[in-house]
Amino acid sequence: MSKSDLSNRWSLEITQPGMLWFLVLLLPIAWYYYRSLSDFPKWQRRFSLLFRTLIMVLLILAIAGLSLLSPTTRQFFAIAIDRSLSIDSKSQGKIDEFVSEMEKNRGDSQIAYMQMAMNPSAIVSGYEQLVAPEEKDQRGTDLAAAIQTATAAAPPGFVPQIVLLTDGRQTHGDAIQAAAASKIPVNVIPLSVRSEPEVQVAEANAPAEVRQGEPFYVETIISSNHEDEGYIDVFRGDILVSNSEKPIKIKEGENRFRFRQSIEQESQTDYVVRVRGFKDTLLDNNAASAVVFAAGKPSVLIVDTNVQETSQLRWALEEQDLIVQVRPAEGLPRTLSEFQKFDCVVLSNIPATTMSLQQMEILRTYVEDLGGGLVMIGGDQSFGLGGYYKTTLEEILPVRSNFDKEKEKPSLAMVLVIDKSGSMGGEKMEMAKDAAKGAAELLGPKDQLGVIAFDGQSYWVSELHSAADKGYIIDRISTIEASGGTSIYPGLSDAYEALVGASAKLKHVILLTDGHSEPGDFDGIAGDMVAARITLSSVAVGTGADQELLQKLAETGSGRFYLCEEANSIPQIFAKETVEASKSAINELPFVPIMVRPTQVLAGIDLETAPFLLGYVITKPKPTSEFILASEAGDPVLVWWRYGLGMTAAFTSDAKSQWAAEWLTWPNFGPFWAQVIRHCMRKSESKGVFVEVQRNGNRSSVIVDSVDPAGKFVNQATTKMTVIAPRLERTNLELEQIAPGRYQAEIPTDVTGAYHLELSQSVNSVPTFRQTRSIVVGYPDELRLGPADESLMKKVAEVSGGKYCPSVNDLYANSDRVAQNVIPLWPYLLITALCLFLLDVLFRRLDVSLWF
Amino acid sequence: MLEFASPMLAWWAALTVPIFLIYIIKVRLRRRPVSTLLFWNQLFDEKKPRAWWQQLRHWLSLLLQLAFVLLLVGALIDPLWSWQKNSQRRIVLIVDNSASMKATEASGITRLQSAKEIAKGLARSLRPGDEMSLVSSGGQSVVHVGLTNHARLLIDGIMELPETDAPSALLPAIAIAERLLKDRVERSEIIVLTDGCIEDFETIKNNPLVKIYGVGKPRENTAITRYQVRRSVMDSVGYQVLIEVTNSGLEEVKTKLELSLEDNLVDVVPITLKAGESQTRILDHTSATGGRLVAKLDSKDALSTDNSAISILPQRAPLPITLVTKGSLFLKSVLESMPLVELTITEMAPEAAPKGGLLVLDRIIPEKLPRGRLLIVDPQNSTDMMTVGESLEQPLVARVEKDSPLTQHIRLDNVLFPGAKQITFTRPVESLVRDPLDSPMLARMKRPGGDLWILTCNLEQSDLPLRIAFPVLIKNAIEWFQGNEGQLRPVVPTGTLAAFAIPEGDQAEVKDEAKDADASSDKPSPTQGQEASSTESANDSAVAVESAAPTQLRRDLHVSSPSGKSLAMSAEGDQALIGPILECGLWTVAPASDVKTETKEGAKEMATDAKVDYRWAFASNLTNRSESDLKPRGELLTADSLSVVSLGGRAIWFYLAMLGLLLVTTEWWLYQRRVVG
Repeated sequence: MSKSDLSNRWSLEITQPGMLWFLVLLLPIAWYYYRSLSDFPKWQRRFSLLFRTLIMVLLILAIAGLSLLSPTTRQFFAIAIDRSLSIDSKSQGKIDEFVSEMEKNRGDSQIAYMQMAMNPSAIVSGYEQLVAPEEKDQRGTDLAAAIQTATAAAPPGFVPQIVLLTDGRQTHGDAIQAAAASKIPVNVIPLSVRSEPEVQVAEANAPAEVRQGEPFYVETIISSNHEDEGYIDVFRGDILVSNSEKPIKIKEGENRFRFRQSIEQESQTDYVVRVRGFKDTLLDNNAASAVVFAAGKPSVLIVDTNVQETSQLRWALEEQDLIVQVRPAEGLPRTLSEFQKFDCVVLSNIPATTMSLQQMEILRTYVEDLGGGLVMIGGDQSFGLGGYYKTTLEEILPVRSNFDKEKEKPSLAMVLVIDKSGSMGGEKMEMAKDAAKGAAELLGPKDQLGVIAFDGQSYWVSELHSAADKGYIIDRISTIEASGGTSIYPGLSDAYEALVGASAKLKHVILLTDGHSEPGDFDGIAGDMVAARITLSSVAVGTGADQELLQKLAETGSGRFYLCEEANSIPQIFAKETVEASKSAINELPFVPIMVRPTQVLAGIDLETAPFLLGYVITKPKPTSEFILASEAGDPVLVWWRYGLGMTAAFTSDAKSQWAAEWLTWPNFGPFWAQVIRHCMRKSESKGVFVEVQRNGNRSSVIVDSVDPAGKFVNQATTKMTVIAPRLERTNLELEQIAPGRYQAEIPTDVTGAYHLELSQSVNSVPTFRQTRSIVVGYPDELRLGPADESLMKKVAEVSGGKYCPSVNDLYANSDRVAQNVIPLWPYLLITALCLFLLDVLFRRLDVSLWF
Repeated sequence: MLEFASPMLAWWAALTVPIFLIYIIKVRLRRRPVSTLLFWNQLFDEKKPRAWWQQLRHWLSLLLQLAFVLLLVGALIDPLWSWQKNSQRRIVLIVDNSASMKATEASGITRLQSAKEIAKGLARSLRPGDEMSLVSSGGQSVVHVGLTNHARLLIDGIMELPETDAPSALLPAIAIAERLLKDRVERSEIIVLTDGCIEDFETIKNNPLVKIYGVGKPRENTAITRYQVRRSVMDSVGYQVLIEVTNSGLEEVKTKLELSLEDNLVDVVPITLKAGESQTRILDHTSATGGRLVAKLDSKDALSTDNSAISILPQRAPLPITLVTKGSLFLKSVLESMPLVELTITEMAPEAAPKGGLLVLDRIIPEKLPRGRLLIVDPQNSTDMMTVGESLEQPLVARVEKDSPLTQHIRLDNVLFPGAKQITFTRPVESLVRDPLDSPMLARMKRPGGDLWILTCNLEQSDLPLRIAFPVLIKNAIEWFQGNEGQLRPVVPTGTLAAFAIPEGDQAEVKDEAKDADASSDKPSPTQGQEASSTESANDSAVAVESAAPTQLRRDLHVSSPSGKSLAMSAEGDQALIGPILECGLWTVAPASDVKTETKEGAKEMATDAKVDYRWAFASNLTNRSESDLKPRGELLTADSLSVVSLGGRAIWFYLAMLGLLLVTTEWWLYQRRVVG
């Protein structure tokens, strides 16, 4: 609206036009005027009528909401201040100066303030009322949301303007679009971006998929706001693969570097590029990651406590075109990304005590949701003997670690001596109780179990009692409460005395404590136990325990010592100890495995000619598992089942010289294992399928292009995806077909970390492809170094009719824009009515004709 | 507690004093000479002079007048009960102007029109102190009117709400509303006027701030809910169309689906859909030219927006092929029979393959192979890329790579390749056909200047050209060179941003600059480059400088919507983000410099121009099952109950003024009928 139209903009408005119906009241007024009994002169009566009519009209207009719409050039400024992390701290001075100038010149204008970063704050009338946002809320900039909020907050009766104080580096939303839609001029005052020395890894790019052995480049862009020298490290998984001995010079702006790599032994590899040694302020943006898939031979990870013993299996598998990596127990991956490098994981005689609960959970996700394969091979440290009873891994495996103890097995009397001192309170005590209950469950009906709790003294929680009455023992164990000091000796002494008199063939004591004991004759009691053929194992909970004493007791007592840094692994130790002490989980009689259920998986392998296996761990097959090979006693030797998207197998004998010495020379040894592992491993079939992942802000879209071998688009296929978020949350969704041969789904990727995707497609229920992909979400865009986005800021100002970098005077300068000020007229109408009423009364009381 | 907005105006109560005085004042009688006092005395005897208080016999009249003055003064000071003050509400009114709101009701008006009428009533019913804001949620959330108590402003905003073809974006609109109300949640509410055809209905309904009021009744609707055309991978002129039609109504529907390319009817598909059924059709057709492919449902239902859909079929560019031969009839015939091939035959090998095309060298091979993509048949001499040796002892095909697109659909087992020679390549090649000794007879090589396809076989002596495998082999090679990747121009669903890829030819300037930058960076800089070259040779994993970042040029674009609305925007690099797209149809984009007229008429002219360059256009459709299902997803509050919010609660002055009005009317009657003095 131009100023020339200003005069035309004065107008009246009735907000409640319905109230005008009250004008009908004028009819009785007129009627009684004609029917009046008043003796005033006619002209005086007419004046009276006029006054009364006017009074009534004024009152009716007042209640009908008569308002005056007047043009106004009073201005309203919504000042939005960018508080995101990208803003230079020195900009505060500029902001303060601008605000103070605005306040100084405000006149009759109104000013409101708000802050913006990831989200806009509420609008306040005073600058000092703004509260600095928390750091986590500063990791993003949504200019569009700020513009929308400021637009909505503009009061009527003012000419509104929005002033953005920002560096224009938006991370969310579309500011140009919001500015164009706002109908309010958006002025932009540019703020400078951080000027502190900053170096960041802007990008790490690698081809999504390569062939094994094919060289490729990991490209990285290092951004810096100054010239500098430092180091760029490239990690492949946890291993540093770049060897920049000399510092590398970088220039101001973007610097591109690349590293030649090839993948030989893994299906998937993640690369992390880090910078160090540069002058730098923000540390969060010093690394970026890329994931590369290597197509080619399947990759298998074998984890064994003794790496040397696995050599034969490794060679055999390599001969069968599998890529094998062998690691000791400590090398078991700790992250899902690490597991994803392999198509199958083989745990060969690995006790549960060497892995954390978190690792077991990750392994479950790897199998269940990402389709990885898991094979557990037997040995004296696996299944029940490895302490897998009631663990997550036992849940995944097709066999149970407990078993029906046979009558001929020797009976066991075991006493658990558990520290119940005050320091054991909380999780430790609960875990110890769970462990004791687990031990009770594992024992057979002929076994006996006693539980002693000790603090400064020793108490029998449950006297040596037949393990057939598990309920009683478990109930008693529940009553243990932590309190008091630590004195081990009385507990051991009571255990000794109870076991000496027991009739069982095997006698065992497990001692658990987390502290230093008061002195006692430990050598003596341990010696007495050995003399009475009682074995003693000890468990130190936490590093605060007297490890030296416990180790010595275990050595003397012919048992084992465990250092348990996390209380949650106590149950695994107790389970392992219980099974081991009962000497019942191993059958070491030579046998030839018998095929219980013929399978195509073992096609071409003549098991009848197979040599003897010398032993196996006794387990129980789960009801829905596929029981393939059995021992002569009918116990499971090879069992597998599908678990979620993956497959797990249990081979209860071993693949090394202890039990499979004869098998190592058997010509079918290699093919047998290769076929079993190939059956379990992740099936990666990607022929004719192209998967593309596009990240767009906080969301990513996954596009699958699918063409059959004949070159025709694969249509109406069921395409599914499982997404494992960085915190292991799982989402299953189906991709929607959006074009011939093309399927798409969108997922939120707003958390820093690796998202693992398992994609599968099937046509008429026949699986056609399966692939895994990863999306690595790095640090938030707010931390991305770069210049202020001047072009965006200018565009925001341009599309909204605002100004870029205006002075305070420019902002206050009268523009052609006017607003309508709404003035309710009812008070004026009522006052006029009052004045007229006075005249009305006067005219009635005075006979004016006396003077005229 | 009672508070007063204008206590100073209470001084007007002083008007009661003159009124009182007027009542007690004794009017002095006029002195006038008369001829006799006889009758006057009688009158005076009957009507005794009265004391001042006796004037109050008309006390009722005075009382009424004083009451009137006090009522009006009471109104003027604008009293407000504290509970009233505390009950001032802030409402964000979200009007859903999504595509489904365009559906016509049985009464003939659209749902949006109904919603606007309800919204207007709501705006009119605002109480003093109440504030309302108007937000729309069709495709994107837009604040039309900020928080105000000015009803007319709101009504104007409501009247101007546009229709859109986009699905509802209620969640973002509610997020804006929540931000607006977040400093005072109590007595704030978000009122949504919608037809309930929304996703996330339960999430929205569970928001305690939100009340969803429904407009419209469930209606029958059949819609195209998925639509995209794509070029075939196998056939250079073929294309495939994916169409999904959904009947979201409660009755069976029989309809026809018409497909037309550039207004020429291509196909008509009869479709019968049960209630709630979706059917997907895949249609195969051929066209070299491409263009606008429109699918139309022959259906007259409540919503017409989703009865048609548009998609752009990419045009297949002709492939220039230069055949260098001394008269190979077989090659000439095969190449001439290929669709979209522009064949030139020559006897002299050029320095490079034709731009964007292919060079076929038949026996005549220059020592330095020409640049570009080459198809070499029966090489007779060595070149910089390969050494041609002796003839193969057993030129019998022993092994064919089955997984390569170059050898698909051919059977060459035990076919003789007479004249085949032993070829050694200087770069790694993929051997596609091999002899029993594993020597390559057909191979492909990747090289930076353009890939090579080499066949060693004397066509004149072989029976290969007579076999069906030969044209298939050449066709495979040409399509491989063409890179038929199943081109498609993605249709943009309304309500989303269109990522428009600026056509390649128009990026040349940008690309060349990037290339120049690459080229210049190949020359090592005194610091980085030297270091890189020394370390790279030492170790593969060492740091190597690749190039400077390519410069991203910003360019101004002019976008025209299907209805002719124009929009200026700028894009950086090779992609422009346009939108959110709120209209179905064909959108055109042009460099701002090419747009001569910027008037609306000019834009319309552009949009309707028959000669649209489809490389500079994109299609947008609703294709949204949820939006086309014209049934609410849950229970909605009836819009009639909205009137409840406007009952009562007016300011006290209003009632006082109203009483004053009634009083002044009554007093007139009493006075004129002499009931009062």
